[in-house]
Amino acid sequence: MENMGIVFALLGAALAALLAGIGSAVGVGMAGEAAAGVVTEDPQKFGKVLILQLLPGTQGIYGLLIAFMTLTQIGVLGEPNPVSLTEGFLYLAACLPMAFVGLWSAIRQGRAAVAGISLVSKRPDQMGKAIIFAAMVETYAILALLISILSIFGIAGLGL
Amino acid sequence: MPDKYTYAVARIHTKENSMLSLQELERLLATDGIPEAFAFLSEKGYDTLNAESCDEIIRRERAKMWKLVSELVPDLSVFDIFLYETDFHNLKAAVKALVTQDSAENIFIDGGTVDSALISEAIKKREYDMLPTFLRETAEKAVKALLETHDGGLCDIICDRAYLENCLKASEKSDNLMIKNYGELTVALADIRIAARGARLGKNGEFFKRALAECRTLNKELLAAAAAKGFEEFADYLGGTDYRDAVEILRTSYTAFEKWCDDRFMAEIKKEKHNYFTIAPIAAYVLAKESELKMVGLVLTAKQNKLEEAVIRERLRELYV
Repeated sequence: MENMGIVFALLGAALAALLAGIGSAVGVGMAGEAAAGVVTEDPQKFGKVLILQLLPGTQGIYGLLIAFMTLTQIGVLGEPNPVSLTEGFLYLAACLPMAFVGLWSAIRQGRAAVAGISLVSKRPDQMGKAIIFAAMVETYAILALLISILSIFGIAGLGL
Repeated sequence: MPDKYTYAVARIHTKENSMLSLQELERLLATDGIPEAFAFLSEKGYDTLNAESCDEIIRRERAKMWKLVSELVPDLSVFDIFLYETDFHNLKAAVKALVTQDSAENIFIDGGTVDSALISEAIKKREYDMLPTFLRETAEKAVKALLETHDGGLCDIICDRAYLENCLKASEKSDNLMIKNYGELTVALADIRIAARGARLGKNGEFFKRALAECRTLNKELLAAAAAKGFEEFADYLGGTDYRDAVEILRTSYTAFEKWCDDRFMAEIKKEKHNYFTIAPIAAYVLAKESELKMVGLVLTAKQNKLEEAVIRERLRELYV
């Protein structure tokens, strides 16, 4: 049982990278299909739709960041650092906001990006608004990222 | 997979940019003659090269549309509901040709789910098994009715009602709300058209029972009973349904009613324009393109026959873009 702390902490890191990554893959994929549809008919819109396609990709990066920070804190990367069972659970909990919000926000952002791509296909002058609609979803991914970062750094200070 | 139409819908939305708007239709109407109209259509992407007639241009554009749709939707049977009207029109034409001995090819329309030559051959040989199931029974009934009574009207009633019933059945089978609503609206508006005309002509209850088809938004029995009593009773009944707006329009003219019907269809399909993950925008595009082709055909025919612009303008419908 003495090593279970690091197991749970690592599980948290894996979930953050995994779920946020899956969400981004789905979101970017969905937006990519729509972008390909537009470019088939109008290749000149490639640059515009590419930006919208990339928006749901950020959650995957946030998940990677949280996983990387957790691995550093628990000593998997860098200096070895003993992790108690309580700390392990806390790291797992700290990773969950980014894991779940990352998954859902990326998928929903993908849908908003598809709608934005359709908007740009009809009215290229409305590109800015199309980006704003999709970017609004990003707010919640950033909030989850913030909470996960604060929690991960806070756990080390608790001295448990 | 709910998102399997993402690529197709985005492509269709881009394609909609090349559809005609009402203002462009007005510009087509304002052209000086057929060559100028052809040049305008060519600018808008229509294939007018060496076209010998207006019909040919429309046929080419329709073929282009179906080529695009068949690239995007692997199973085109979802659109059969839009093509049944052509099938039943061809069936009526083939059955009537038995009596009139008319062998002219121009009585048939292209673009149904069944080849018109096959329908014609099956009817001539009375080999109904050659036809798909949905046409078989109607074909047999229509031939029998026409040969026994020599009443072309009865043949029309049999075929038209079978069309409406098949349309509703196909729409109910679909899991898409737009196709469901399209089927319901097709049947309801056809029932209103039959009831209004029949009521003015003083048709009896038996006629209405035979001609009207069941649907969810109208009660067939009540509609038939009201129409049999006369136009005012029919108008009273219709006033209490979802189609109350049609009452005053029907009092004005049938042309206005036909325009109202087409505009109502267009309003229904426009609802699905921004649904990015289902087949609905593709189905909406097919209907919208058909509507555009109908309008272009109307304007070109009117130009050919030198009709006044006001007469055509009265018939111009709401367009998709």
